[in-house]
Amino acid sequence: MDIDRLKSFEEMAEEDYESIGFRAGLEIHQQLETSRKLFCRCPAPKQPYDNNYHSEIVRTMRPTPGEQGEVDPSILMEYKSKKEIHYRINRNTICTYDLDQTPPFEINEEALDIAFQLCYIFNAKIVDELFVIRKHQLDGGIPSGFQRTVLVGVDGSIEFKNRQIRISQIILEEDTARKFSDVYHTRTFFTDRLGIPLVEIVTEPDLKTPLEVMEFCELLRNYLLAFGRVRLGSGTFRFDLNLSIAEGARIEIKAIDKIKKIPKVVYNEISRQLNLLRLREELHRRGISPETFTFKTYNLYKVLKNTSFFPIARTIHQGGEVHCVVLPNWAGLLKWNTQQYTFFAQEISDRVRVIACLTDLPNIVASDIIDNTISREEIERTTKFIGASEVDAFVIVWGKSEDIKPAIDEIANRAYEATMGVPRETRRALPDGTTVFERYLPGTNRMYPDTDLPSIILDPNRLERIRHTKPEDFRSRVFWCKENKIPQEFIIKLSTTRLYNLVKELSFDLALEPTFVAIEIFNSFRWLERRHYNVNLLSYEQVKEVFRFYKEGKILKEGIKYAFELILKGMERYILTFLAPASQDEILNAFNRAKVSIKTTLIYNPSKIKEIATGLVMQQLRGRVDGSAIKKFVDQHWVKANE
Amino acid sequence: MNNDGYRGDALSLLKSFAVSVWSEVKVVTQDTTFVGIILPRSPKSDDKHIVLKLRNGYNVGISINKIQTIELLGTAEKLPPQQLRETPVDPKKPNVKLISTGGTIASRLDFKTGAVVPAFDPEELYTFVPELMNFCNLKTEKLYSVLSEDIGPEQWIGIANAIARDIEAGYQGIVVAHGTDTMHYTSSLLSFMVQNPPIPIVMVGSQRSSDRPASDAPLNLIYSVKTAAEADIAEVVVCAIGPISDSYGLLHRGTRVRKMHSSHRSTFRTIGDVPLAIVDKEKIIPLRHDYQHRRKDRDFNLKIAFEEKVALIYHYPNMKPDIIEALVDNGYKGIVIAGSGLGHVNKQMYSALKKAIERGIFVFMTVQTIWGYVQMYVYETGREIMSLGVIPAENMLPEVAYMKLCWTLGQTTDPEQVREIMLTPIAGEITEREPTNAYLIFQAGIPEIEDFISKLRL
Repeated sequence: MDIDRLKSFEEMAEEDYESIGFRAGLEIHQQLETSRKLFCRCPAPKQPYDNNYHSEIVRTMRPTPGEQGEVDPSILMEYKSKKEIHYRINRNTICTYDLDQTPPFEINEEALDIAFQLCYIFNAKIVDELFVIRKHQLDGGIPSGFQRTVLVGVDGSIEFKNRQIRISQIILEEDTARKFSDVYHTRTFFTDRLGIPLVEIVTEPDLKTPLEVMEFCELLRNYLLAFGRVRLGSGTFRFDLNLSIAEGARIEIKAIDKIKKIPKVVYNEISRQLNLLRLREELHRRGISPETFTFKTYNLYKVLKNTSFFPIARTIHQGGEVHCVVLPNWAGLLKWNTQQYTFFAQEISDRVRVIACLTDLPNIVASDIIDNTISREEIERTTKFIGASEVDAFVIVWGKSEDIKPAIDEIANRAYEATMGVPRETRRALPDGTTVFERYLPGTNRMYPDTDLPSIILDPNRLERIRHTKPEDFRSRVFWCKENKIPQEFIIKLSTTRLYNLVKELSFDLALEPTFVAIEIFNSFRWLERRHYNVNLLSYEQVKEVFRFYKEGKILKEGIKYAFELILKGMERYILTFLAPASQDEILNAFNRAKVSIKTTLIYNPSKIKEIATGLVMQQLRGRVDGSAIKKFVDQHWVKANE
Repeated sequence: MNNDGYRGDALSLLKSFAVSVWSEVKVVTQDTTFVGIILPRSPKSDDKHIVLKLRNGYNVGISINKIQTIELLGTAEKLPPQQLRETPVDPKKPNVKLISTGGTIASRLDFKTGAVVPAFDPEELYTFVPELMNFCNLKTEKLYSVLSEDIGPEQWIGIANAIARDIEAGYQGIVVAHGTDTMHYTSSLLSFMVQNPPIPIVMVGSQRSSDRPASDAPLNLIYSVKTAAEADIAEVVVCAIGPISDSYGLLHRGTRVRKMHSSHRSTFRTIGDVPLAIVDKEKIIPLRHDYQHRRKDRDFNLKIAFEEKVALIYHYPNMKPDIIEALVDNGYKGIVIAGSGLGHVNKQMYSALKKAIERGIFVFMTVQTIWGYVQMYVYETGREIMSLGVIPAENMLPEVAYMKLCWTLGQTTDPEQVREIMLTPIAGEITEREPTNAYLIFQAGIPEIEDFISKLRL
């Protein structure tokens, strides 16, 4: 395929993705359902989180030279940005461990067992001796500056489209805090999910198209839901994509809010990488290479001190500075298309926002794109002042004096990187399907042994016990559903919820048709939920009792949901009295009462009179009669009555 | 022979495949294949596993029973040690000396054993916290490398002598890096040994080693070096982060400070009084004015003395007299008791104490409540104990009274002199009055306290 003309999203076929060397892998983060956190005894708070907090504390972080004396690029970047980090603390779920004031407690064994079960589900090999590792993160997600993480399983796989997708790692770690805001040099976090056990499941880059990435992500999600011991709710399941194309770079994309958006985001990223590669070609054609790259900077105060462009005017008024980075021979390239709706200038603006903390947008003006910013006249004066010619491009940036230097550095840096192609980055997805720079891609230079905890040597008996109690996985659930002819539209829903076990056990224990049980449970639970009942309060024994009554003919199918309602109202003992099938006499009486009320009622649509009569009878005998039998009864008796 | 923690079966296995620690290897087990670098193993661990650092940065232990082959791929390069920062000398800036004695602040992660070891050179710290350059010309000296719990008279005397030497050498301030666990012992003894110094002598430590991004070491260093360079306080002080947040440090008088939490960063508190000052990156704000001011001269009073046969004992109900008898039998010369309440011990102890005092052992009473004065007249028991010859030590903290008695008995054993030295305040170890705000321990849960702290960035 000609990389210069990427086909439209709809036209792209599997071969097209192959021809550009597209490969992608997934990193799934799933919170586990445990009562306590991973390294302390705090209760793991339930969703939904409220935003209430008792106090706020401030931390600053600094990089530490690693094992080999080097600092990870992602960590250095965070340090450059000089962020002050604020944590909002709800003390009911946060203890001094979470704030790095107390050493860790021993790892939560319940979470460890769940992680082992997941290893068995994903066919991964469990590591013989586990080591707790510190993964340094200076973005503030964890008050200690590092996340405690344990590699639990390696070398797993799952079948997908008649091939195996390799799962390279299954990791158990503590969840990070939830970012609330990031403005100027202050970043604020809520700590509600901090420390909750989380598994990270990492695949090899075995996925070949954006659609496959989405489908596989859904499959993993279904596996986790079917597995069951996971938390549900917003933010409890998160996924990052790792993708690359030939000659491009490995890019990690975070924060895609919906699985359905994956294909579009991936396509956009491919297009961005191809466009950056084309930009590199264009730069080389113009004689701009990593070796020849140059830039110049100018202070534009004199030119723009009276500008009416508000962001710059305000900065100057507040004592800030306005500067300009000239990129010789770059004319037109700042407007080089990158993603569907963005230009290369966006990549520069992102870096200035994230690293120099100039978070008020717009934060730059690019000479190629001046719409609605500074005036043509000001551009002309600027051009004259800096002595630029029409083949040059320039970027204007403004801000507090202490932020200007890093901003200029980042502008030049990003332009320089363009001469080499696609920089390795972590990018964040926006709702429109495009991505923005989040940080440099972290390496392995930020992983250190945790000296606070001993290694864990696994007892083979423990693993054997866990292996034997491994729950049925998603695939076998789907298989069971199909075998038992559960209607297609129910299969996924049934296989991924706890209703599966209910349906399976009930139909087995009482020898009922699984389809019947499934449909009755779905419908009556939905009916109950609409009436604001909490169906989780029903025990297996109670549900089973209701189905047994049905099976023994003590109640009708129509009575099942009412029986559940009685249980939830605490009136379990009245089920057989209130819901016993109606006798012929009762039906006749009800029918007669219906006739009376019809006679005294004005009927607008006399052709529907029999349906109305049926409805009135049913209403009186709620859950105690079979609808079709009543209809028949009314059909027969109406004629008689009118004779 | 150094096998980096491997022994027995694991060591034989490594030898049989001709690989060793730092070899980059491919390990084939019956389940899977690992590629990584063989790491040293903690000597306390078993001999049934080898530890590998995988390429993804994680460490795993592989059971030797499962290993089929180990293929040598190469040897991990040992990188040259980190380039240390050149230290520019600015004649306009004050000269400050940083003496390192060990502890967490002078420790870092030993990647070999995975333990925190005292191995971090002061020069390295300086490279790590370049901000220190803004305040002074810093000279560093690695005097000792001992952890808090192992510090003793040899180091105490050595530190005092080093301080004396550096005061005479003309430094404008001295910082002593020390483990936090026993820092308040050292700070009080130094207050007695180096009396009336002309410059600040600042003790500093950290609760989190500097290999952690949120370590308190950099901030504590910045605050202490700034204090040494600029503060007007010519006393032995302990400098440490004040609140929970990384917002400022506090300077505590060396004789009134105590470590109050086993792991919290803001562990040091001034007990029964107000700290001397607040210090942040910009300024030093005194919280009181009765401190000794910085002087230009180089005069001070060095009084080195130490008696090791002194004990600090903690009284508890039903404590038996044999503890005291054992001390007497072992030739102890002084005992400091951290008594219950206002300064009491149980009746069983009386005869043993009486015997001890008759044998010429000095017994001083302090309070285990930490806050408050010894007052032995209030209860009859207190009077009885005093009549045995036990001397109340006012509101000296138990640890401070212990250090002071060691120091005093190193100078004299004359009862009158011992009593006088012990009860005459030298460096604020006894205060005449307890201000009403000197005893503040916020009680969690009280509505007004909760309301107050919710408005703070603590």
